[in-house]
Amino acid sequence: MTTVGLAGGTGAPGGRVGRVASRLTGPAASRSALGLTGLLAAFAVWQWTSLLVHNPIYPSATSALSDIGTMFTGGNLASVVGVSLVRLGLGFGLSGLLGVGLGLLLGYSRTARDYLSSVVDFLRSIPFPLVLPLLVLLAGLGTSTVVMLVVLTALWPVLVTTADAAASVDPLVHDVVRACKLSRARAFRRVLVPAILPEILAGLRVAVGVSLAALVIAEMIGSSNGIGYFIVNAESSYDSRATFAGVVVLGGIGWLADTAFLAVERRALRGRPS
Amino acid sequence: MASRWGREGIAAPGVRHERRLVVRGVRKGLRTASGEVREILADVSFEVAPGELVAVVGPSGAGKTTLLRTISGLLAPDEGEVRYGGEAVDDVPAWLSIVFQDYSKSLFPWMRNLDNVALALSGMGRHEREQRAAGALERVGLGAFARSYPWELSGGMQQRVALARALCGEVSVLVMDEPFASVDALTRTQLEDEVLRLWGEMGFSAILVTHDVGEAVYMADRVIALSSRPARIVGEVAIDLPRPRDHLATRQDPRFGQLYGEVLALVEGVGRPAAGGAPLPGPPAAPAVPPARHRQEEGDLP
Ligand SMILES: Nc1ncnc2c1ncn2[C@@H]1O[C@H](COP(=O)(O)OP(=O)(O)OP(=O)(O)O)[C@@H](O)[C@H]1O
Ligand SMILES: [Mg+2]
Repeated sequence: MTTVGLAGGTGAPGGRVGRVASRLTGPAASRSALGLTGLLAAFAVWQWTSLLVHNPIYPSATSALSDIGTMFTGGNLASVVGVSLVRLGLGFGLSGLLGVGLGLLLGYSRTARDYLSSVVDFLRSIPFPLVLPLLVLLAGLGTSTVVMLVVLTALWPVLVTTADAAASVDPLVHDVVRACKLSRARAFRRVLVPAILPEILAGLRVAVGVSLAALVIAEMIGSSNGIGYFIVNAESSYDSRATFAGVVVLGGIGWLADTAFLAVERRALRGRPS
Repeated sequence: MASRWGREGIAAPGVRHERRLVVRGVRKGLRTASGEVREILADVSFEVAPGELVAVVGPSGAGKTTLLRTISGLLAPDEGEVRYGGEAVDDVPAWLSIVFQDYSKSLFPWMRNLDNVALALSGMGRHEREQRAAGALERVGLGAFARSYPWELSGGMQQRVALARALCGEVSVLVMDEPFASVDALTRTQLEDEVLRLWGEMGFSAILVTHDVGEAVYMADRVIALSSRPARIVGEVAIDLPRPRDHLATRQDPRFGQLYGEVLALVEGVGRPAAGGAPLPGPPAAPAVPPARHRQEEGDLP
């Protein structure tokens, strides 16, 4: 018989399993060292395959990098990248603010969820890049159109992960908030946001990638500068070297953005188990 | 007997809290996932005198947590009322503190212990808040762990932090939901004494929910027994064991065995409701009494 009625197993301490898993990935320093090795290996493969292919359409790693160097110093690549980075920052920042804000509202307020969830589901299934021409008609070519498209595209992953996480917060957390008599502002700042911070950050990280993709699409069609425009422009004038340089720079921006985001995330989650 | 520790101690000078907590005719149904309303509390009424420690025992799933949430103002009763003095209990009043069943969830892993405790304090500057929270941690013997995180502590220590959080404000009524259910037996006896000590020092009234009959008898002035769901009160037993209580002496007291049996009989539904405090004949054959304790008391039982 195994009817052991000891001290009712109610308090299974949560979150202990995750810590073991995280130990396998090792400390941050060795992780980034591994990342660097991978990057170098990729460059080696690129270099080697380009020598095999031996076609000017597919430049070697070294020549592409030196092209990028000269385009940065001599050409206008620096200002092109600058413009795009500003748009990316604005677009991502706004999607983050809106996504987290609306996500908290939808996740923590039953009423808001009842009213708004079908609107949200409707809007987020619209492929906004396809309505880009409409945005151009609305706001013209330029930064506001680009930022608008980035927001309309990158908002949803943040909103949905935040709302889902908030809606499934343990009811006990709400009991504690009430038992501690927290004001609404204090409850959000100290408890309700931190309780779902890992999920919020995961949503934001997805939004980093989505923002970049939306940025490039928007710049290709809806603006006359920025990295997206730089690439289509190079393509339409059959400048394969500039095209390649643009694509590599774009990849670099993506990598930098993600790395920066991970650093922020680690910092934000410091002092937590697992 | 130190005045504060005995039943007469309720009226002793220095006790600030002089209101009675009255639970009258409380009914509560909860909606299940399938949409039907399930009756959880069926007409529960009892009172807690100022400074009294009342234990509520009942089988698992009886509705003890639901009862505590209703008493605390976390749930509104469908019928009946909870009053403290003249005041209706609504939302969680400032004078009421709760120690939750599951400390691993009620303490927040992103806050240091000090901040976890200080969370319950408001209406004062940050410095004073931290000062008081540090004092509360000191009082439960965890002054040195103020800057650690709860997940760096053992289960028993975490429940002490939760206790410190509950006691750092001006508490008149402390409500505890199986606070020791998930710590080991040794830690449990320590925590029981810790709570008794703080209760003795601070003079609040307390409601302790537990499904451990021994713990209820050891700690309480009075034990209320609940039926299984829907919960109603099947009887109560006044615990006239002397205070201060002590795990060795109190649990060896033959009276302890008698009271234990009375409460157990109520919980198991075999005994008739006990008239408060009147010594009854010894406990019925008690197969559910833990063997060690049983042996200890056997010689004294009729
Ligand atoms: N939110 C809810 N909706 C519907 N039923 C619920 C809800 N919460 C609890 N119940 C039911 O109410 C009953 C009492 O639950 P409660 O948690 O109050 O019991 P308990 O006596 O505290 O149990 P335990 O000893 O396991 O802690 C249980 O049968 C449970 O299934
Ligand atoms: Mg319970």
